[in-house]
Amino acid sequence: MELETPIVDNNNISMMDKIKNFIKAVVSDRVTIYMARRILVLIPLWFGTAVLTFAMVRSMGSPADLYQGTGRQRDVAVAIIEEQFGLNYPLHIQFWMWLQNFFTWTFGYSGYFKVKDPSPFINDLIWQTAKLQYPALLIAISLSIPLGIIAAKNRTKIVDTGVSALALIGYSMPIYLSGYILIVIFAGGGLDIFPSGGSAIPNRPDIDWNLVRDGNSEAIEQLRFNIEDDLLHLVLPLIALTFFQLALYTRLIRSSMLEILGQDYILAARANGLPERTIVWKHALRNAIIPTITFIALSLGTALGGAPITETVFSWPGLGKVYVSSIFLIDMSVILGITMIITTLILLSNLLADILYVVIDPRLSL
Amino acid sequence: MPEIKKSKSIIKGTQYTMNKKDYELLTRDIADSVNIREGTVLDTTLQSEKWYQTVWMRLKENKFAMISFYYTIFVLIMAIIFPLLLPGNPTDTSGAYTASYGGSANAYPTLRHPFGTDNIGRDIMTLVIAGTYNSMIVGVFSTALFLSIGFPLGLIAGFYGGRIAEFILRLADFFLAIPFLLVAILGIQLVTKYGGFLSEFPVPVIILIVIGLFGWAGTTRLVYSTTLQVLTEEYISAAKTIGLSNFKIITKHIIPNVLAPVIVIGTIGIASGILAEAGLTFLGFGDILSDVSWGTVISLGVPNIVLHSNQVIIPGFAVFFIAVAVNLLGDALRDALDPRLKK
Repeated sequence: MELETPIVDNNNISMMDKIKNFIKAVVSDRVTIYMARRILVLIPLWFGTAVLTFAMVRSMGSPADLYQGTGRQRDVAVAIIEEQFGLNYPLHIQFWMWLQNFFTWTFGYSGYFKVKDPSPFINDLIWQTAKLQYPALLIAISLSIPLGIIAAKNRTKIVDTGVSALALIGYSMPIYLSGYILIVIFAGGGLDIFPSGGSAIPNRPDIDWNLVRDGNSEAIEQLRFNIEDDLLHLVLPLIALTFFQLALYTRLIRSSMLEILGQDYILAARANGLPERTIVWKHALRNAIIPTITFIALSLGTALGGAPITETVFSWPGLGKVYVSSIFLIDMSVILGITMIITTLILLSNLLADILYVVIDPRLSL
Repeated sequence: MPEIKKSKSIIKGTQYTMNKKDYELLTRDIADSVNIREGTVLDTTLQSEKWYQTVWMRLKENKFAMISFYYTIFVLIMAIIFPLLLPGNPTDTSGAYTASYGGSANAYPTLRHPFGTDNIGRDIMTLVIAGTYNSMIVGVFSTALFLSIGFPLGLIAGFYGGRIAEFILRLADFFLAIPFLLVAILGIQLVTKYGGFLSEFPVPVIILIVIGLFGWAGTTRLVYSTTLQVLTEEYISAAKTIGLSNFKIITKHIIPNVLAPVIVIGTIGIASGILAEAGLTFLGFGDILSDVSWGTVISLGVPNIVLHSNQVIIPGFAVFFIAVAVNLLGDALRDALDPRLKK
């Protein structure tokens, strides 16, 4: 089958035509087929992970085994637990029930939250984790691009050594060291500026948005207090996480920048007398950023999954912390729910990375 | 009359004579150009000097790399011989009963207990030294496990291609797509609590098996793409032309040439294995009282962190120092193996 490849003359075309050509390039047949193939591959991967996790959770035994008690009381309790978790159905029916629950976003009975439908709790967990992870990612990326470029430009000078050393420390330092150092210095027994854990003070009243809209001064005061409280709780975990991710991205950008700066076309640009700033920030950066952008796209998915240790250190009520607790309780719906939410995000971010690859890098053969 | 040698010129078909001195100069030039190429490409099959000697020479120039190399060796030796050095059992809680000599539970650092004691009276310095054992076991053997799965699979996929490669790469995709930490936590809990005879194994062994089984996919992809690169080289076509068997080509020509990135990924794998072991035991996998691991020492110290931060910070730094040393060694190895990045 012959596939059409758009021919683009970049010299004298207007902005509108450029955009049109770009869309044409992205929506051409070969790209569509490539995308369709990538999307189709995702489905077996998703189901594979679901089956694997389901098998692992189910072979951990029944949550009823954890019930402590004897005699008739125990029999009744076990019967209730098995009824709640749907354990008295055959395995494939259980899997099917769980799938239905997942796609209707109800998850099924949860032993950790002790409710039939833990979706409000899980939504809150996702929000809590996202509120910590994505700002960290954003700060880390926006700091690491200039840092990596400066380090690559001043190769073997003191600036580069400093940045590289910082990066090395950043990604070798486990969060349970950097986090506790921050806690010892800035919270609790130290300076006591920031709270040592949690995402908000306990029993904080919720905001009544209707009152805020009406201009009730008390409600506005409460809103201001809540925002301040949120930010205060965010500071320490954000610093610890950002430090780690900053190190990763700085290394990545520095090494890809070094590779690009050694290429012939940079030499040609220098020979043509272009200013160094244009060469670095325009010609080199545009190519050096490609691996970084795909890595960022991948991190969007994995960000939510890599959190258990950070959240345990800062007692952050997010996905990772609840995941670890629910594993000790064999809470099937929460374990499977969290795993599959994160798997879905990882797969989608893989897809995003693939799409970005095609969009950014025209050299790529599909 | 000087001796005259006949030599075939580079220009095809013509022959000319040259005297001995010119001939020696020419051969020296050719030898030099080959040496230059060796220096840039590190084609191990061409070299007169063994490749690891070259790498070792380059590594020796890097001061920090040598410090971290000796530190890593020191920790490895400690992990093996620590029972000879320590006065007693690392889980010995008798410190709690000898309060009069600067002991007791939650003691601050003293000469008797240089790093202090934890909240059940164990000496933290002893625990940190004894913790090297589990840490190193997980770091080294999880890396060995995932390399021994990932490396051959990548080689096979790269060399044979076709359906085999498709299958192996899809499998690798699957293992890359699953959320590693979550499934590892689940797997460790599954094996330690409900794994039948497997749960008899010590927790570090289970951790290293789980890390090894779920962590090979990245290596496979790396080895696959490097093998594809190597296959386009001329010496592979030459080897095929003279009729070497596939096995010979793989062992003599491909493996030495894809080894460089694998050594680097293996070194970094050791560091991440150490971090993962400490992280997972910190999360509460393993027996907090009987398993001597840096992670359990940290998690036992956390409730006392305000008054006794040494219980958390010191084992934390133990993890950090070995991770820095191994990562630094990995970076230096990469620079030494890839001379294009040489200063």
